[in-house]
Amino acid sequence: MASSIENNNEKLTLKSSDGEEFLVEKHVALQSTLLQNMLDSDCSSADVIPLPKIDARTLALVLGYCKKHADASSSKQGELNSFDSEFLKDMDMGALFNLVLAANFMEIKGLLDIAAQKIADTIKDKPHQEVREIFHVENDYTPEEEAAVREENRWAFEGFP
Amino acid sequence: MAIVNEPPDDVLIDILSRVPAKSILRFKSVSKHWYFLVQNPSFVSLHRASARPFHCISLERTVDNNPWSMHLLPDQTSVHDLDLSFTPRLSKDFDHQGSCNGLVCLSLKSNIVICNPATREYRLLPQPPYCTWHTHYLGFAFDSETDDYRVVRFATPRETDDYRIDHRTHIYCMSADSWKELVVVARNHDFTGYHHHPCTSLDGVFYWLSSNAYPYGHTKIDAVNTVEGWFERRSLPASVCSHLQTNLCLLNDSLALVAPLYDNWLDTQFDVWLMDEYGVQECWTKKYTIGPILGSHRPFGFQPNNEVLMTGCDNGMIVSYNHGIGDIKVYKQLCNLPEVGFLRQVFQYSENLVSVKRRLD
Repeated sequence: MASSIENNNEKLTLKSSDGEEFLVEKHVALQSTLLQNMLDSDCSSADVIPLPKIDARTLALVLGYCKKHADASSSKQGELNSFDSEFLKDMDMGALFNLVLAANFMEIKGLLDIAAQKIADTIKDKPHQEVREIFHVENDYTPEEEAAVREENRWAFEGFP
Repeated sequence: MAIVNEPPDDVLIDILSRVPAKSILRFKSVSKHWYFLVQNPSFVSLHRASARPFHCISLERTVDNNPWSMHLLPDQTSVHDLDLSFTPRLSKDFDHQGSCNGLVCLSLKSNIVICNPATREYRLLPQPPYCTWHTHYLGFAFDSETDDYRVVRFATPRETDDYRIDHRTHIYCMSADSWKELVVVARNHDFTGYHHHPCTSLDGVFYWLSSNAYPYGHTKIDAVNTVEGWFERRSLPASVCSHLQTNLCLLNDSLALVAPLYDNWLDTQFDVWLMDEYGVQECWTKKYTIGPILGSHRPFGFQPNNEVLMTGCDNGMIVSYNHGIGDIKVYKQLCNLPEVGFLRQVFQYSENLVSVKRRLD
């Protein structure tokens, strides 16, 4: 059995959907439950782990988050909280969604929580027509049906188009 | 900027479970698929679990047109009114009977309403059996075993504090939308008493303080187990005197008794007792003593951080008192509501999307 020091220095390679490879320290990768399970199930660290749904730009962000949280696990929570809010600041909706999808796939709960919460906070005061556009949802209501659904909770639409 | 593709349902549900209830009601108009997603009971449960809990209080006021009201305390510096104006015939005679999981139960004689402030829906319950009888006690609780909301009504032929009088107990289940009689076996005492506090419920058992004369009579704790069907009367801990300011409330999922240490109007001292396990003799443990705090205060319940909420010595003042670490007392004014007469209850409120309207056949 390898010593723990050796293990800590181990690195593994992740490959994004667009073919870019990322060399990641094992303790950083362990922030992801998916990668943790793969390593536990005797997956050799020499292998390249393909992440076919995550592009290089998103993966770089995800790994930045993981590194900060892995290195700071013993440091102050306040510092991590301010890192988290700074991390998502000014991020557009497309990037946030990619982050949520990646965090969901790689099972990184902390990242999923903050990114999903950021999207929720952004959409909660928007009109439903705009939310429909943001989420690329096709409106399958007839005008009559949509009016009827709206009527069910008319009070919630006060001040909205 | 929009996203490239519509996200998968599990991710969409995760995001929407973090959105306030009022926004969810609007987002039902996004598409039929969204409508069905957010109506789904599993989404409703998830949304309830992620909703932010608020401290909530119900108050009796000394004003005529609105003698009681409910308020959310989002932090220690502000107060939001909980809007119940959507409920029917909400008059000054309606009384707040209890809250759980974000639903509120109101009553006026035998007219009972369950309402949901998050969705502004309400349900007027069918008239209970013996509806002309006096509603002696009314309790409202969520039964996690059956995933259902229940109202319990104890009725007597007339308003009385007399001993050994006839009584009937009925339970209303929200899913069945009907009342049924609960045969209550009196384990150790006949049904008597005069209530002066709302019911507190824990694990299917309703508790309230009961005195044989108002207001300083001999006080006991009555309990009705709605699952096993028994009624029981138990004594207060031996050192606790019968007193108007004795109060029963919940502390960390235990039944707590807050009892004044002695009559002293210059300062306030209360013992906090916890009930370990109901049905066991001598089941009370003294947890700690609150105070002494200068001035007369009346404790009414605990916040999740174990701070106790009290009405203050000045009219309109509500204070929270932190028992603190190492006997350091933190004493701060929570809010200053006009014309507060009486703090009725302290409870947790969080938004719940559950529908209380009847399904249309």
